[in-house]
Amino acid sequence: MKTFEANGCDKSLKLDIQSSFKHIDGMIEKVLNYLKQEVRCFDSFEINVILRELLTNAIKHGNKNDESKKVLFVLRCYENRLQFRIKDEGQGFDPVKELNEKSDILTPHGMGMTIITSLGYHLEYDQEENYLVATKKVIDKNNILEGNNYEPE
Amino acid sequence: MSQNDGIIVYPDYDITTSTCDQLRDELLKSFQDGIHHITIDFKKVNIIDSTGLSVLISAHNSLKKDGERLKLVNVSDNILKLLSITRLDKHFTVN
Repeated sequence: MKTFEANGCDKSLKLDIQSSFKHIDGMIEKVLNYLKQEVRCFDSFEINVILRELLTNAIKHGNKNDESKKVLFVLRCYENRLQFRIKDEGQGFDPVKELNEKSDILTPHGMGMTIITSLGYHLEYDQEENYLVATKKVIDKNNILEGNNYEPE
Repeated sequence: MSQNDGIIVYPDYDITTSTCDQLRDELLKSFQDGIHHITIDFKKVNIIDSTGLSVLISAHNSLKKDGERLKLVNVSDNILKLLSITRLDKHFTVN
């Protein structure tokens, strides 16, 4: 796993991993440790779940479980927003179809996306850079982040 | 540990993409042994993801054919929240 620099005023962290499920726990631990240093209060369960869904999606559907490929992850804390950007080496996908496709009850397809959006994250697809972007608006009170539903501007 | 004609499954691991095959195999074995009353004890489960939930859904759908429901006990508030937002709490029996 490679770690890139965190930059100045916006807080950010870049990581990449080989495309294998066995690396997910390590990456999540690294992100949670980073957030513990930079942010005094956050929902570690929620972030664990969100990251797990995003990384699993990239490895399974983006990179087709090909361990020779990589998943690039960027965490940004900026303007009262927490943002996760995930890039895989796949062919991209139809964001309108995938992001609007809600899972039916008792059929698992699309459940990961449903979980992400139900936890208050706004999902969008950066087609130019091939990043799936999940953003949540948070309230920053003395460096304490509190969850709040993201409302697109 | 069996209870009457049913079984209680005690996963002592998080139920995620990289681990859920273990639970799937255990549930599959129960079905193959003709057991159709299944309870999963979540006491030692801290995290479940959508892949893990899909294992529960598959088990529940199999039980439903016999008029049964999957039962989950000792579920944490965090996991209960996930079951709620996916509306699976309306289908499983959750204590």
